[in-house]
Amino acid sequence: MTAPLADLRLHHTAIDAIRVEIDGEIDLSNADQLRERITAGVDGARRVVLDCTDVRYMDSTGVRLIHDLANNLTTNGFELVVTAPAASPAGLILAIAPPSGVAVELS
Amino acid sequence: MIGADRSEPEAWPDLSGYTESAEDLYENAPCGYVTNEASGHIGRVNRRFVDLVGYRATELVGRRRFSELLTKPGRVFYETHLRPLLDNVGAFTEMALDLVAADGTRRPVLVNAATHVDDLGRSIYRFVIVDARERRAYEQELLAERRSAERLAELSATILQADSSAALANAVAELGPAVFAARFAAVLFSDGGELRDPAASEMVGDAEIASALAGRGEVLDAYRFGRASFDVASCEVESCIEGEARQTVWAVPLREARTIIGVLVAGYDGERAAPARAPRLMEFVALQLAVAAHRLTLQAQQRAISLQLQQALLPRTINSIPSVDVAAGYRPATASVEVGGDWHDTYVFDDGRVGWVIGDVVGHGIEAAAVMGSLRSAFGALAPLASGPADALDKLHDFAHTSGCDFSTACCAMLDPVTGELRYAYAGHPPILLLGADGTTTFLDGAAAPLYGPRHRPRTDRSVTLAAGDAVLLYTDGLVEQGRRCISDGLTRLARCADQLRQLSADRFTHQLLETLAAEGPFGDDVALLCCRLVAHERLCIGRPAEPTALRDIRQALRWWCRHRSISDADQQTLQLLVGELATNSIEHGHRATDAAGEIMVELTLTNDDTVHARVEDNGRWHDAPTTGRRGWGLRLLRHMGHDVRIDRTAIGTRVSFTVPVRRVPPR
Repeated sequence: MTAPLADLRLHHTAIDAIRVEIDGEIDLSNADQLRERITAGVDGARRVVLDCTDVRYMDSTGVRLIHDLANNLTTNGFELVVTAPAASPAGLILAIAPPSGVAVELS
Repeated sequence: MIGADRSEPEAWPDLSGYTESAEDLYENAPCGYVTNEASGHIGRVNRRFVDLVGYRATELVGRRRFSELLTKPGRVFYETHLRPLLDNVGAFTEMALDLVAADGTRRPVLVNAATHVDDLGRSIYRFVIVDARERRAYEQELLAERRSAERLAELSATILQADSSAALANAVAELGPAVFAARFAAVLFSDGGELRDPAASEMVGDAEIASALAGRGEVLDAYRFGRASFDVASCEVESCIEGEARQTVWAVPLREARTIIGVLVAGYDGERAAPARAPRLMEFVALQLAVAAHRLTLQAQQRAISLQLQQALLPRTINSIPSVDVAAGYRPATASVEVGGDWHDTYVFDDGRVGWVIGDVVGHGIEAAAVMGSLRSAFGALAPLASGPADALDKLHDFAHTSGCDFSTACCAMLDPVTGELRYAYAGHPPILLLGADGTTTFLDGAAAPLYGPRHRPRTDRSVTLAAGDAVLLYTDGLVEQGRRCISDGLTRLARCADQLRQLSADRFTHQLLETLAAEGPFGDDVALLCCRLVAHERLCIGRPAEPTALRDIRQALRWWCRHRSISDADQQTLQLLVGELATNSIEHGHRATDAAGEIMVELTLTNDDTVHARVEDNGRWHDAPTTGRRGWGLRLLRHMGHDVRIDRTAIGTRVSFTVPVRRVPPR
């Protein structure tokens, strides 16, 4: 069995705020699973920061993941912020095809 | 003697009727008499002595001392040893001395002497001289025989150990003259009917004579009809023997069963005849030479059979793929008679990987070649079933143990040409040499037990990622144990030589490496080697089943391909993104529609104007509208970042092509 494409790191930054760091690659083979893991991981938080600094590959599948995630969270009144360096693989795609309804902060 | 009274004077026969005078008896005795007076000079000599030394009596008596007739060393010996004996003991006997005759020649003699004290108390020395020419000649003959016997023993030993006909010829040329008391000696071997001196090309002097003789009728006759003696005086040989008008040559044939395989010749100066024992000695030596030549022939035949068997068992073809350049080399031991059990093989597995194995069966000859053959066959069957090199060697180990194949070593490596991952494992074998395209040389470590006895624990794979242009060298220990060097010296030397040849293609590299190392000294053992290089292709072509997991493989191949073409990270990201989008479309949409087991193909070509031409192709049919949903984003991205975008949809699939200009960053 090959190693998972991406790992998640969860940091509670405040009592109801979580930073989720994605480390690895996001593609069609792991997007659904990632979304489920993130959704489960952030349960109970009001503010979620999705840190894509360590995403080494991401295409529109990843954008859709964020989009779907935002839909799930915001319908429950939560706030989702996505951060990534502008020159990173995630920054590249997020700049061209930003997911609707999500605050994207490129550094 | 019991009862005899010694004090009683001996009875002396009555000689009154005897006519021979004492004077005559003195003068004509069968030995020389010399009396040295107390003054030191000769007082009297007899005629026999005068005849022996060739002086007149008047030249001796009262004029010379006896010691003056001796050679210089003889005189010293006389003064220091013999005269003290005469003065103190009163006599000496059987002294071998040389007298110098009037004509300056030497007369070997035996001398007895006694001191006589005269009435006045003076010492007079009396010498009896016996001619010893015959005896001396006999002694010298004995010495010569002994020297000849010693040389013969030396020659026999050399013949016994000779490993080539040239070595036989050299031994005869060098030691033969002393054995046969000849001026020269040579052995000529029949070579396709022609007589030939195998050492002639390396020698001068007498070998030239031998070569000249080889063409002569008399030697040919001796060669054909048996032992012969003849005079050589023709211009042909004279040209080689300057200033020598006449030579007598003896020739004795070398017989192997009923065939004459050569001829032994010995040459004598015209005046110096061959000693009587020479022909007998020559026949003896000729017999030894024939036996040795027979042995060499048998060894050569056995070696040829082993070699033939081994080569029949070694693969005739190299299995590889276009992006991997592989060549194999083999060289039998230079000095050894029997070939070894070195083997190698190359494979292309169904999953696209390529594999290489090299092994060394301990032992030599036909048996080792047979074991090698069975190991190679077994490995060919086991390797495709193995999970990797370590597992393949483990399986081979079990086979070798259960089938009783003796101690042997092996080394196996498998390469994924797409990712560049090289996995390897050893079984008591010298380390693989990695020649990096970046100019490095590294031995890949990871020693493990040889194929001997039961297997104790599983081997483990090691791995290293190869870049385009990297080459690995698998070899047997003959390559690094040359000239009985210690193995670390051998490895250092191998790395140095390989480093200098790294620019060559695998085939040329293998050939040149063997040549270079062979030039430094003969190979004591067999050498087999495999050189495998990952070629830098400007085109990348990946075919994968259209499943989500294929995306990762495609990215890895693309990353590797870009890195080794020095394509900048930003451009690589762009290519990854666009290819990833299109491939995802193909997987998600193309095949979800048909449920067919589809394929996806990605092809990238880098052109000279630093442009990557990309093509992503599938054999499915997109089922949703092209401008909506996530796929719409993919195509938007493509139009945004790619150039020359072209989308072809046909009944058998979809092909999207585009170009991306790239920046190339020189390697650090």
